[in-house]
Amino acid sequence: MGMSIKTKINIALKCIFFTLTVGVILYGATVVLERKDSLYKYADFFDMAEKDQIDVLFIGSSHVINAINPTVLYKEYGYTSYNMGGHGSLLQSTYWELMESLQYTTPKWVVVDAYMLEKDYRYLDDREANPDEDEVNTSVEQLHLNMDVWPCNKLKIDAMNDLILDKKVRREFLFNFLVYHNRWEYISEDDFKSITGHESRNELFGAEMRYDVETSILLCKQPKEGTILEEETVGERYLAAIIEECQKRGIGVLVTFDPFNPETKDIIAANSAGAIAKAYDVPYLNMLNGDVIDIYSDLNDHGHLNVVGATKTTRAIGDWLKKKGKLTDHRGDKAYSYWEERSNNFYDTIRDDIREENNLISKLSLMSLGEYGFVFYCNDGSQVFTDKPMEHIISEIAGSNMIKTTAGPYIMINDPKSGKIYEASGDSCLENIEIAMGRMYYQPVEHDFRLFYEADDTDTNYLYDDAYIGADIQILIYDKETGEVIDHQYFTSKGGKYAR
Amino acid sequence: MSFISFAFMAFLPIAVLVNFIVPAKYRYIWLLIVSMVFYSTAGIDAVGILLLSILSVYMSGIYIGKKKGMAKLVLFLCLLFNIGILFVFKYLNFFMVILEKVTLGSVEAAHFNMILPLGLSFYILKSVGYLIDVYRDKIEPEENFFKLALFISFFPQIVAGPIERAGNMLTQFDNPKPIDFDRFRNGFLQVLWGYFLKLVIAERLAIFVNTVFDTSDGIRGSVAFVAIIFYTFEIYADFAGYSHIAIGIARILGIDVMKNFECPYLAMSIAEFWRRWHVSLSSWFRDYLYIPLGGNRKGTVRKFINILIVFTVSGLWHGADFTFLAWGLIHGIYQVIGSVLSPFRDKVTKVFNVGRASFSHRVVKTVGTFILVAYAWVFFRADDIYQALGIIRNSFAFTPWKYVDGSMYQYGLTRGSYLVGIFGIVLMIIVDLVNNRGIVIREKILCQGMWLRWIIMIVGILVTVVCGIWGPGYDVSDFIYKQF
Repeated sequence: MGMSIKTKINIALKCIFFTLTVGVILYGATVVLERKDSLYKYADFFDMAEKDQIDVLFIGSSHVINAINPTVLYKEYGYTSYNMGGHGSLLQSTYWELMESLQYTTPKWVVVDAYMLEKDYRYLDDREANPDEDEVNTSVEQLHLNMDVWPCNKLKIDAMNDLILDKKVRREFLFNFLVYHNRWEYISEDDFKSITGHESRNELFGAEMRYDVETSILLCKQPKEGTILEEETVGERYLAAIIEECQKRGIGVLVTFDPFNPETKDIIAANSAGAIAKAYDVPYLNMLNGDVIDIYSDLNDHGHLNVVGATKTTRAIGDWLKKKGKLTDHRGDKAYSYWEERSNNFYDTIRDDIREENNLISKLSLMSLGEYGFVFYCNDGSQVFTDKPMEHIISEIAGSNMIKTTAGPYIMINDPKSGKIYEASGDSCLENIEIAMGRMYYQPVEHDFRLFYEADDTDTNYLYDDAYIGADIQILIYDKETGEVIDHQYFTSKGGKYAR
Repeated sequence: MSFISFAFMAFLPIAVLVNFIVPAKYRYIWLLIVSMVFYSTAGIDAVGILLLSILSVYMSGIYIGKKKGMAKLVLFLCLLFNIGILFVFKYLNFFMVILEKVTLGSVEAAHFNMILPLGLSFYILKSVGYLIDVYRDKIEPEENFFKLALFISFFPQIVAGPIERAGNMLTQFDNPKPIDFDRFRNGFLQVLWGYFLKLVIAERLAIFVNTVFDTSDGIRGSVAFVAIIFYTFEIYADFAGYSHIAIGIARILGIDVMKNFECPYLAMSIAEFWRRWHVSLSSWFRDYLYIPLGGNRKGTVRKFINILIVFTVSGLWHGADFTFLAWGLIHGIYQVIGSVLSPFRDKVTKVFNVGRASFSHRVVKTVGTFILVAYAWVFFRADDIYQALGIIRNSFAFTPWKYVDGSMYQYGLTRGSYLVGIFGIVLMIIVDLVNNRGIVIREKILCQGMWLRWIIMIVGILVTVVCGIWGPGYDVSDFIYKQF
């Protein structure tokens, strides 16, 4: 006997409801299991774009990620920006990254870094065009950071068709559950928070800061001045496309080549970027040639800047924008309090890092940012006086070569409040110097004893403590405004290893 | 088109939906159409061979059914033709290798670059079974070409069985069952269990097994032993998974298909194992090879010879390689030795007063049989005999600490994934223990209230999708038995 119409409808409704329930649960699973790197990076972008609060977009590769700090740009200039850089991003990836972001915001400036301009293969996964398998894998894998967060729409399909040759790999980007369903082993509380939009997010508006100091620097052979790439590369075509797109939309374009320790090919690429910028009549900042960073102390590794290098580079671009960008300083505007809060958080983090950092050279590098006043004392016989990278960074901070010409003892006082740096070495004394701590006196007495006291409190000798008689290096960290001593750290330099 | 492909996920709902709508009388036409569409994805050449085989079987069947004088000759010629197709595509290269070895190299082995048509080994056996049944008057020849074509090419079965008997299926085409919601739910659950076995268990265990087997310098001790045990469960989960999917889909489409597994690893002897493992093939060999050879009716020696012949053929049916030959022979030898030692074992149990029905005795026999089967599988999995012997030798090295020192997580599976694999094995054993008592878990689930049913189904889908081994990064292999 056949089923009644009512039964059939009942069954059909059950099937539909079951399918919908499964669909909703599977969708929830896709949200939970998705790798959150991309969402982490861009969560603030969507919020800030929705408020139309992004003045500048920084686009490019990991060089941009590590070179541009939007919190510094806001703190020091009041300009709002988002760091859209992608790890391993070639210029074609950068182009599509821009296209995706322009769906949500129209910034006043786009700052595009031209690193990897010389790359001349069309598809990121084209192993024939690019035999470097690691580079191909990195490009494809890292493209997820750029692309996962964008919704699957026609633009994203166009992007994937343009960037990826293998249809299967394209599918991984359009329906990334294919890749991420096996993340079940690694899900954390944060993965579930993403359902309600309370996930962790990048607190530097897309930037990532690094904190090491690369000390083994090799300089490359300089090409003939003005040498450019011989034939037009895919990278060049996409740089031109980025410029054209921005010009079409009335967005200002600044082409840059962020600083690092370049190879010969990078210098040639930088020259070529300049030529393209000139052809399109857009400004160009080639920071490979300039004095923006000190490559002996501002690099995290050969290709990427550390936090100090990033701060210097951000300032360089900030200066340019201040001069030419016609941007509004938003500091003090209540509508931009979130930017203020994030910037303050970054500087709080830097201050914490300064105190907690155990690596002496990294600590000195961080202290050079001027968030604290400090006294650096180094006893005679210390390994510091034979350590070239250490001497270099101290010399850079002090702005003099005294450290390189003495066998100690040596003292340097960096006082951000007055903007002054004081140094003394050997038997020399410092007398009645005015810093945030007060009117200070320094006098070396003997190998294990020296005086450093404030004029009104001669009983407190800051640079001597019986408990640390063996430590040859001392760092006295004080509040740059009040002069209150915040930390007193001791290091030994035996064997060239600096230990607290 | 594989059962584990997105194309199949789109194909199946269409096939099912239209099947619901088509009047029962014409349903076989729709099923034939979708079966041909399904098979056409294997390539036009494969379709041509399939049609040729169907045509020969159809015409021969009609002729044999008329009982004319040359029926035996026609049967012989048609069997020769179809088995000839199988020989050419599957065994010719292997035959050439053997010829070269037998002639000590005086005949150089030519290699023919041929791809085995999808499901050839399975549908040829179906066809052969049909012809013999017609010849034996067990069934009437099918006069409707489309129904016979559907019997041979029915898409859930054509890739890797079960090797159905014509008597069971053709009658269902003549008298189609009404497709109701209960059948649908029952079939859906079975399909879901099949995908779980394949994607969550078989593919996961395969990662470990492949890593160990593919390590050229040989992995010793516990890891090799675990790989052998994992492969034993991998091949079961893989093939049973496929069979559940095939049977479940057939049920949804209104066709009942024979079971292929009866809790094989709970068998207490090798003979029993073969009554439980790949039932459709074992019974096919029993009915169409072992019994015609004389079975056990012509004395003990002849019986042993027949067993060895059947298992050698069975081994070769699985693949044209010495490893499969060895695997088949080992099972044949197991059975012969089992029979020879039977009086001795009886005496031992009597002397030591061992209760044959006692739990401990049954456990010992089950575990013993399992170990024998597991070690035979090594030949089935290995690339060559030497590799198989190497793995077996290595598995006896004494390294028990490797079970607990984290070594097991260094062969492609993370700790979590390894534990999921173990959980899957335990679940399979529990399900088989329950099934062995005649309880069909699927039916128990379907008796529950809607909410519980839904929760079970949704959790099943979620676990299979999330914990299943599929997608990029994994080279999800097709079903193992598909290659035969």
